[in-house]
Amino acid sequence: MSPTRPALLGLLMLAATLAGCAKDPAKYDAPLFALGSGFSAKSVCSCIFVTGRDEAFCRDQARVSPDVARFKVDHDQKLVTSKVLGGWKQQARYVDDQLGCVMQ
Amino acid sequence: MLLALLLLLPALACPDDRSPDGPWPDDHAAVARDHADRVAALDAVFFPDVDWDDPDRAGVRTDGAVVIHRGRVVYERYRDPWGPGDRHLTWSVSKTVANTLTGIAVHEGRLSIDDSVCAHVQAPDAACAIRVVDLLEMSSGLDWKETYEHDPPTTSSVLAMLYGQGRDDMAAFVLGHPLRDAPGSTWMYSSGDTNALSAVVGAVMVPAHGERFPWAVLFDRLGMTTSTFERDGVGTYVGSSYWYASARDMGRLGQLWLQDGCWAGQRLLPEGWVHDSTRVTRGARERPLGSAPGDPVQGRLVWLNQPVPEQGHMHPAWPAAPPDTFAALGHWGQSIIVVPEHDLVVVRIADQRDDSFDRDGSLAAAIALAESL
Repeated sequence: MSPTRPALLGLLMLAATLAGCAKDPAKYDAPLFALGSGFSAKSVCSCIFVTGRDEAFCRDQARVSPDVARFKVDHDQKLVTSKVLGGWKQQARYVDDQLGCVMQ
Repeated sequence: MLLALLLLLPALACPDDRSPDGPWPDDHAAVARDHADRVAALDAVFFPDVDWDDPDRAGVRTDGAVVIHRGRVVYERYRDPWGPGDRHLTWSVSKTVANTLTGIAVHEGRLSIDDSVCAHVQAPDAACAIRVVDLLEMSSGLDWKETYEHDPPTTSSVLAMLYGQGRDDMAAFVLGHPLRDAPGSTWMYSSGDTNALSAVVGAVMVPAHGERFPWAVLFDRLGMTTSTFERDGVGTYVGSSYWYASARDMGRLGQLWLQDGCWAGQRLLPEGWVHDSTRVTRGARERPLGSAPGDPVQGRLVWLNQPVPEQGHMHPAWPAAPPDTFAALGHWGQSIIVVPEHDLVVVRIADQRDDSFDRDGSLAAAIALAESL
């Protein structure tokens, strides 16, 4: 997949979301992409550090449609950072094997 | 007087039970050898051929299945890379953990189900009409929208709670919603109600048992070694969604419920708690919002296999199983199903993205195996 495709998809989704909001105003203040990167960061953090699966497995586990979230895993800090289109940064950090991950 | 008390004791005590002292007694290899046809039937329903690389993730995608009969593992199988010691996300199976921790708090005398939530946590005045029992029964009446990936995400209350503005203090976020209906009058599936409940339970249990009270009062007592229970930003356990455990440890929760809340001769849940939790709730009988015929119906954070004639739902969700069967069910196919009549606990961990799994068929196969043992 070319690097521009996720961006195009994202812009299309943003346009669709804005059009949708005109009819059905969102009740909550988090933008769609912040929810997307939040879901990615939290899900991938728990998938890797709690359930012990590898990055490829967790990428597929947390894949939503459209697939625009990208994550980075810092194994030293036990921290997962996710972004959508380079923005809407969200992070989740692993605490320990009882308390798992918490969004930052 | 003393004699009367002594006579009362046996009624309150626990009968002999099948709580494992250490790892589960494991007969599954011998059962697979001696009852090959019955085990093949379980394999067929849990693990039919599936293309794990399918981009649409279609088909029956079971990660693991464990059947416990009379306190012994009689069937166990995983798909690569999952195994017996691996923690798996249980999603809404966590809600039955939230119920269990509530029951323990009640048994310890720290909480009454008739308490207002405002007796234990800070909440807007309007929310003070909500009682603990209303949260157990998903009957808070709060104006909530429980939608996931198939609806516009930005209007979903549950996504805002877990990943958006509600994530730091989920209970405060939930209880800040306006009331849609009088508390206790309706049933509507709400992960928000469960996390408000979790905050109430935390408020009474942390001072007594410390921040990690779920291990002190439940997980360690049951001999679980794989429990992870994640919290929000202020330390409330996310009872709606974030309990992780191995399939074998999930089976321990089922065994506790099968044994009426008793474990190794000790009563963890109040007398009558399992009974009261496995009745159709008033809201589900009188005014369920968003429930369809053929769906399982909710007791108190437990799914039931009972018809609801008041709503014209005449058939149970799983006809192959007896009507007193009950279950903890989670997103993407997670389940702990208890079949008291057959002394069975059936656990499934999965990545189930469509409705192709035959849950009724899996219970039929598990019951058929139990009947042959």
